[in-house]
Amino acid sequence: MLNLKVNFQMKWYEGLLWAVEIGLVAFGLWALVDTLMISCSKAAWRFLLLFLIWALPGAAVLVFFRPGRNAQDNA
Amino acid sequence: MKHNKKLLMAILWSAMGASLILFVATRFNVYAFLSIFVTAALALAWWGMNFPITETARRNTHLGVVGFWTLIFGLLFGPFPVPKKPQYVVGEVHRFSEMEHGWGRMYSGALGPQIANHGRVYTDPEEVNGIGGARGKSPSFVTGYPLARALFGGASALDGYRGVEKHGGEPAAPVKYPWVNYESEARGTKLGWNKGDMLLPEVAKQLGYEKARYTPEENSLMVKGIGKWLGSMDVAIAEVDPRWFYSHDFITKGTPLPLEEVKELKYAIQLFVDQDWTRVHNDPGNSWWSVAKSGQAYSTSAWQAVRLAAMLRDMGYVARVGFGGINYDSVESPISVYSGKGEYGRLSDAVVPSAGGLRFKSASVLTNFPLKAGDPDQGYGITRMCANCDRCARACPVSSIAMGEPTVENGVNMWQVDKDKCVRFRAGNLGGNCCNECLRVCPYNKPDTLFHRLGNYMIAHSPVAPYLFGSVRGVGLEDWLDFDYSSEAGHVKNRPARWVQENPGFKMQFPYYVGNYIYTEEDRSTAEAWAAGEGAKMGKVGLTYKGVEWGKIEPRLLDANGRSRNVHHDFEKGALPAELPLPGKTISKEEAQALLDSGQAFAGGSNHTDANVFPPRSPKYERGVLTYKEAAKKWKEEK
Ligand code: SF4
Ligand code: SF4
Repeated sequence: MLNLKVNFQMKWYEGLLWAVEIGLVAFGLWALVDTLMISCSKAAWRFLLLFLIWALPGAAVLVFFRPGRNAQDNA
Repeated sequence: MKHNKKLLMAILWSAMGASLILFVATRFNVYAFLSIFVTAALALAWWGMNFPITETARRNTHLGVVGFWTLIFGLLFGPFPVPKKPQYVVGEVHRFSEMEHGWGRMYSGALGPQIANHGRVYTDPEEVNGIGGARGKSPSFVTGYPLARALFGGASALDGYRGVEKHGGEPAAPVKYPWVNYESEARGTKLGWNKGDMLLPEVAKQLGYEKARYTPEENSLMVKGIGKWLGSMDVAIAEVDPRWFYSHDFITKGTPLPLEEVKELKYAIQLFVDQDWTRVHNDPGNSWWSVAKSGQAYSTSAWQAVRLAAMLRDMGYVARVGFGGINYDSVESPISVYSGKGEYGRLSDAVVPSAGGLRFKSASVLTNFPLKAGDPDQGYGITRMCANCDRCARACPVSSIAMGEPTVENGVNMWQVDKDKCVRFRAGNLGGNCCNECLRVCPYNKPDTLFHRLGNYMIAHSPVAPYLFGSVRGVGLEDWLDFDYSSEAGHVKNRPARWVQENPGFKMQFPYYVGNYIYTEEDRSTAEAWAAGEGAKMGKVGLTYKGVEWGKIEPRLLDANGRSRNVHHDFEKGALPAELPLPGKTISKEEAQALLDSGQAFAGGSNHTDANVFPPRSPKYERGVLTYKEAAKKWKEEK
């Protein structure tokens, strides 16, 4: 029997930023679908791109801004 | 190595700083705006990948980003109060003559013979003898193809039902001008909605009772329910300001419309019919289908209003109908504005968010059925949005929409469209028929989805959104997103606009007598020299504004002098006669005065001096500064 154990830990402020990031992407997807539905394909993809660009700084912080990962390099 | 990393770090942050500086220096360029986010992300990522990060730094950057977006979210979606609607009336307001509006002037010949004969220049001899010839007329830009003829014909066919003389129990027979109200046998006997006096179930639910009591509030809910049932996108109800009534009628070429005869009409019910997103999106003024959109919405709204009015008359009330193209008794846009459904936009028409912005045509029922009007002060932030968005002004092929700030005309402070230029292009568009560029590009013109409603909410409430979407003093996201592109129809190209011009040096001769009306020097078009080709560039050819470049006219469409020939581009068979007939004639000043003094002819426009208005203006409503509320209150008390 497969025994899967998922260990997931998140600090409260990380949770907040995840919520913001998910919110931005979700908004972008909503904009994409809504705008595709009204036959404005160019605007639809640009809308999604806009939200993805807006989400970039937060994503960079979530993924790369961690203690320890560069300690050996920069010590 | 470490040095290089630091150097790149500095470069990335500098790039972000430069994007920020560029953003301000370029007056909020959208790419500089996007670049701020991209460079910030790169700098943060590089920092995190190459330099030691403490737990505190991680927390603080997280909270920094979260704080930034919380602030933006609050600024965009916070329930900020909607900006107050402007006080439009700032001076003496005169009634508008229907002969004075663009179509009145064009059809009557006051703008010149070439445009008055737009039908002739619009087609080739075969067509003249074909579709229009059968009716003894050249097909015009309206009647030039079967669908448009069917749709506009559908509206005209209803003229007899607007509220005139009774005919077999129905108000059917139009009089010379139907400025009298239908009097039914049952007048005085008020009938209810139905035998049981039962309300529409949703109205009953809203009010908490089922049997009608005929209070104004209840009546309004019922009229709105029925109006929407008939197919109206929304229903506006306003108390009538008598200055909305035209002073002179167009269909009968200038018959005066005395206020005394319409004192019973205290309320206006306005119905909105969609010109349809797909058609507006896919058919600009050069699609050759364009004018049918107006015909569709005019005839449908006419039909709705005629039926609503018939019901009110049967209930024992007076009900008159106004519908388009030219069968109105009153100006429509103030009804939309003062019913609390919209605001005057840059186009100078009412922008009504619940009806696709500018994408509707409306019809109205004027009645004495007691109603509760909407809040005239209700705003939507449209004026603030229009101040930051000039998409319609940029799109207009003949620059008839004002850039810049509102101005005062006829005592009303609002953006003023150059109606003569607009109508000359719409009637004389040589590369299509009519036009709808302004309403097509308006950000309010979207299908009514939840997403679009959220956008409208933001524009109404947020102090930031108009700067984000508008480009006058903002980022211009609406431009960048490019809703103009239709995946069904491709891209609408900026085109060299070409329109029917008057002969070089043309100057209209006044007084000009047509039907019952005399146009005087005060009616001279301010766009007359332009109409005769002076300074006219046939649209915006060669001009560039905010990245929009207007193309060149093909040489084959130019005459020996480099001017666009006044012919439809399919018309290759020769020139038009140099002189085209006008529907009216020029007379002497003495003749004009005698006709006016004896009451055989009439004159007047909102811009005329008092001495040149026949019959004279109402001293009660057209003297001094009277706000909408003051005028409507006086009118309501009028017996
Ligand atoms: S209808 Fe066309 S010509 Fe008239 S204001 Fe709009 S864009 Fe300009
Ligand atoms: S296009 Fe822009 S400026 Fe013109 S009416 Fe619409 S919102 Fe106002």
